[in-house]
Amino acid sequence: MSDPRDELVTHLPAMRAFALSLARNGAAADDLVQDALVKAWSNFDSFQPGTNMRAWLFTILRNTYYSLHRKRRREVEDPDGVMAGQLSVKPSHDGNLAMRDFQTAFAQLTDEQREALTLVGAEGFSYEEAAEMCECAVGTIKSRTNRARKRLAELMGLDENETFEVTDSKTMAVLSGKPAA
Amino acid sequence: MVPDRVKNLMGHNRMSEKPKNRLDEQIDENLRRVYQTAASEPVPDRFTQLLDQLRKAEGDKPSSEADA
Repeated sequence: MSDPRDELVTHLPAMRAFALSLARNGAAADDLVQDALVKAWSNFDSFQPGTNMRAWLFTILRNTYYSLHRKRRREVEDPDGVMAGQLSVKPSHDGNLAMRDFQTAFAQLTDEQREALTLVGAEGFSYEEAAEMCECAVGTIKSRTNRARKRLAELMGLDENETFEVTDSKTMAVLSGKPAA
Repeated sequence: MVPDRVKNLMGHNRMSEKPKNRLDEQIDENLRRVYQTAASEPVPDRFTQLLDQLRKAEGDKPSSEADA
């Protein structure tokens, strides 16, 4: 039982979570995981023993997503139960963001922003690891995560004047011109 | 003054360059919660079955043809 491929199964839950953050739709995410898994299996000799298997798998997964996404853009554009209209409701500032508002806002980020924020903020990869996986500069990953957080704050109507340059008029524009509740 | 290598250690998995503000922390905390929730879902059988199939297919023929 020393086949290194035995480790694949332990990364499946994380692969599904990462796929969901990219595809934003459960069925599309699982198809993505399946495609990535087959690719990983048949190209397993390109995995370097001793390196981070999760990073390797995530790289395959995001490459699969980007190549599929160009073909299937229209099919995956409807995230599960996500309605942009919900964004016009300002969450109450009770110190805890409403999870649904958060997910709705997250789904509005660009592919690159969701990817960077998930890899760095959620999965805990270093900027350097994330940059390598996304084949871009470290500074690019940093600016993507920063812009992603800023955009999330805007979308949810959160405003900390001392730390964010989000003006009221900008926030209002994001809230699609509806009067603040 | 903190040497870079110590900063790197301290900053592992975190934003090390500048201290995150409360809002950023809140955003990351929610992000992790959403992500952890998704990552703790039970994995559907189709994936373990797929792995079994891949393994079986490989046992039946030379590995160079496994992806054919």
